[in-house]
Amino acid sequence: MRILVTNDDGVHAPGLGALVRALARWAKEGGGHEILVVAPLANYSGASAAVGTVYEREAVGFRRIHIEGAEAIEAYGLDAPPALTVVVGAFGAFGPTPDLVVSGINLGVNVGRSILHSGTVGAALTAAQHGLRSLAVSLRSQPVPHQWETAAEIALRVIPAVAAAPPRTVLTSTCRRCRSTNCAGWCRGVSATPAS
Amino acid sequence: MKGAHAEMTGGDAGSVGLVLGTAIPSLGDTSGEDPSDDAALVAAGYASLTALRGVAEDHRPEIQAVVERAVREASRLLSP
Repeated sequence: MRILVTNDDGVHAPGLGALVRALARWAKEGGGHEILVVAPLANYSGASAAVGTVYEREAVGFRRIHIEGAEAIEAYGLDAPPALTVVVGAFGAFGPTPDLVVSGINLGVNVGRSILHSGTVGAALTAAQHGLRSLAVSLRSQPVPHQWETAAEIALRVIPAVAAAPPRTVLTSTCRRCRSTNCAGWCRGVSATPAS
Repeated sequence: MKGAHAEMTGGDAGSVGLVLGTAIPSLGDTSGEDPSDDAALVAAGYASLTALRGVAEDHRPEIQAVVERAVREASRLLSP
């Protein structure tokens, strides 16, 4: 499975780093998975599914990025909003078309009406528009320190279900800290929740 | 859009060329457009009116099954 990782907080954001490190470990253990990062160079929070002024640009610049702790993962920072990173990824600009797009980990919950405005979710919805499956991942901004690993671990658990789902399936996952044998912190559990 | 290709331009930097697709010839490639869709009709001189639902929860039964499976898998992580 080939997974494209993006976000809206920018390619240097800690949430993306945590997600990529978790995916890199998972891919190494599971075998056969490829991880590609194409994320905005700047913070595009609240950009929803904007692609910017594409009709005024013939090309979009990018830079190769090194994700700390996941140096083997191919990663690029694109001078573009999250949705456009997905579009160029879906068109195979950086290699084969991905099977799945994972967007996040966003700092701040993506629930209720905010879903419409979220760049994290906008990227996931853009993936669906291109026939791909996708997962948007976010973490509550309080309390600190932010427990990125919790959101990343939940994402790892959810990814197989999304990957096996019908094309254009979009799931969004939001959490805070969790308490289990695997995660420090606390969480009451996972529930399927209607959008408020 | 109809395509995108990345090219390294030096060092760690590069550029992604965008191939724009559109129903309007002056804006880009018109090939592959469905002549009955909104963009093509507008390009042909019609006005279009389309009802949108926006971002909404997906209630399809097959997707609820995906959610249930995902919840089961994630819950295992959180079990003490």
